[in-house]
Amino acid sequence: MLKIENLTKTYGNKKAVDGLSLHIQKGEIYGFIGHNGAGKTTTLKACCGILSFEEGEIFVDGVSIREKPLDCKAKIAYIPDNPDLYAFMSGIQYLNFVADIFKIPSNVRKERIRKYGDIFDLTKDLAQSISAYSHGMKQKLAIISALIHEPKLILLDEPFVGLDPKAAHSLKEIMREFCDNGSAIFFSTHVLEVAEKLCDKIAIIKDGKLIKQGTVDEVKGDSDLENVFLELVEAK
Amino acid sequence: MVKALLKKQLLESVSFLFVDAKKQKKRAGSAGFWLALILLAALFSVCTLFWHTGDMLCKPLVESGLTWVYFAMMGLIAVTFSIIGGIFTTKAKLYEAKDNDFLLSMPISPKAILFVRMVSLYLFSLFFSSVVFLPAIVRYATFAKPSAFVILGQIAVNFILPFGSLAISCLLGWLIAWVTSKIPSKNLVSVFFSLAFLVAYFVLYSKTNSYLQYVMEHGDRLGKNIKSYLYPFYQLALACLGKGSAFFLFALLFIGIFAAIYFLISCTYLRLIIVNKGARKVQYKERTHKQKSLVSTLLKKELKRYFGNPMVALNCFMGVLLAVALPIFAACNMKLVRALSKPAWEGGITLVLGVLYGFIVGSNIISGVSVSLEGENVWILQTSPVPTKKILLAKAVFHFLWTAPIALLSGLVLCVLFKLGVLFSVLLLTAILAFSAFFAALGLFINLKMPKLHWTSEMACVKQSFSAFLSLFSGWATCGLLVGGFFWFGKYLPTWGYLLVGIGILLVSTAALGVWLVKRGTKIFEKLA
Repeated sequence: MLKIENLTKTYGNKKAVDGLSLHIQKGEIYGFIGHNGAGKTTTLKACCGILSFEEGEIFVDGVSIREKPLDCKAKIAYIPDNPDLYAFMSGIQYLNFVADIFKIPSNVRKERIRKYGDIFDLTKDLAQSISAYSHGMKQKLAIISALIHEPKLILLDEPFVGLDPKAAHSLKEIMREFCDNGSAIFFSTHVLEVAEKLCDKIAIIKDGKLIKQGTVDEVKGDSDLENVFLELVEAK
Repeated sequence: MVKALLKKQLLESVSFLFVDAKKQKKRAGSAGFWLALILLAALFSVCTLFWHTGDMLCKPLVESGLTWVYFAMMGLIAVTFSIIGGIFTTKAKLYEAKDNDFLLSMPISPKAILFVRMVSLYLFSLFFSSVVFLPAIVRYATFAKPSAFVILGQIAVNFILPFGSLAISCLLGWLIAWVTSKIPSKNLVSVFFSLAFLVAYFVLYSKTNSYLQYVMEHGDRLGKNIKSYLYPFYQLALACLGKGSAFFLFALLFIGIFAAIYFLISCTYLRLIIVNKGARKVQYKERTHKQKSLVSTLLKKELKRYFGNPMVALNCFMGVLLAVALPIFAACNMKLVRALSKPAWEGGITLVLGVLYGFIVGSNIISGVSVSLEGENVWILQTSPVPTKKILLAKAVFHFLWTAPIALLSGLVLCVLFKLGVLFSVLLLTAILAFSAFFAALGLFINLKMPKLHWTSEMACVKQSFSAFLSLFSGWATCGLLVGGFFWFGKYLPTWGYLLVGIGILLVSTAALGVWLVKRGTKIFEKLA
């Protein structure tokens, strides 16, 4: 579903991502963990086409993001770590905006908005202006906007930040449900317990380089993910 | 701490000179220098305007022994100009800055925040009042050749003047912010006050010549009124003539008034600056939303963006207001219209109207701030499966749709009032269309070259971005070029021929800009961060 080959992104003299290669299959929840500034967000942004890169290639469902970005974006949903949404719209107006962009028919979107609005307990606030939303509410709205067009690949940058426990639980369930239906999810997180329980595979990045990847069991071995992560990140 | 805040505030105001907002890097080489130079050139033009005002008043008043009336009048104009230019910026910076919450969450007292913002606003007011008062000082100096001591005193007065205008701006801004906080429909309140100021400004502007004439003819009577009702300006005037006691009294009055208002505001500042006071709960009712086309969706988004903040709308859609006002003005001055409606002058009138509409249409800076207003939301469109050229097309079309139809209707009314024939009517209306399309594309071009995506208040995109300024200035410059071109080439062509050539140049330029937007503009937008 997502194939990253030798991705390199440079900012000035600094390589934010250096020769990263990953392959995410359909039906996989792939966790991406690393220290602050490791290159997680850069990788995610490159995958969804908002950041150009110097070397390498990224394929979404076999299509190059460089050559056919629109085809790729039609299959992707991206949620940044701090979703800045249109403060001049209400929640429902924003959802309808996204639905119009992705050409979701009226009756289909109505049903999905109702479904996800109820799951994330945001329905009653959909008429409010987004400028009045808390961070958690914006996060929920961004998640709903990503789900209503049923993307094949969901890219999430620290999606659990700001979510209440119920919403976080609902999100995990939906992520599993999406992947069981053939989609793939690639998300970054600092919450290692979530990564350990939720992900099928994990990749650990340090200073732009991939230092470990594999299934959760392969990565953590006999230890727990936190110890493995700390050992790998602190090793020279 | 205050030093750090001051530095942050001042850097924010001048960041466009040093930082390329598009690349988020320092501007290469001398780019900042050239930008500053262009700004200075525009500033010089505005100063020249007020120099002429001073020029009209200086000689007759000085020769009648009413020099003090000259300085009182110029001081009054400076303060008025500073208030009109700064009142909404004052309101936005003091009460609506997006980083108020962030600053309040740190161990920074509201008083320190207020102080820092006031310093920034003082400099802003100083800029506006200096644009009027410094040329007045220069005009007087060239005419009356006063001593260096007197000139120094006048310059010192220039630095104290902004305290007066800032005091009134703060008071009015506080009043608007207070009223807005009490009334549910904040948009309506802001629009009402903004329109009221705009109408007052235009009434004042349209009667400028008659007011100046009155001043020249009734200087002594005016002087008595100033002395009775505007005593601080009387002292200002005496201070400008070198009277030390008057200088101290004037300074005491202006700074004293400001200090009193500053004290009043500081008592209620914390309450007023909490940006999100909690919105009234709107009940959600599930409805079936009719699916829209891509272009329709993008246009609707632009509409919500601009009209979500009435101040942004008022500043960006100024041309719309002017286009509506012009035929009303003409209809109220039918005597003048009839006098000008001679068949022999048809060509000349059409040319003048064409340039006027160019100026009016160029006053809409919608596309000139369109990219900047995306701000931190730009990722939404960048990650959507929407062709970038459609995004840019929607922005240009939005500008065009809000400019051309209203300007066309306005132009049509004037064609009827001035009794223009078919040929010149068609030329005028075509010119309006050409101007609308040209400025839509030009604004977008400028904004893509100079975006300002990181801002704490939307007004920063409109009032403090170089792109907005250049979009407006380019409108004026285009009209200036067309007028200048007529003086050079007009003798070789009939008026209708010159108009046709002008329209042709505009359309070709629009097409060239369109090609650039598709080939280069799309790439720039995709890389914005």
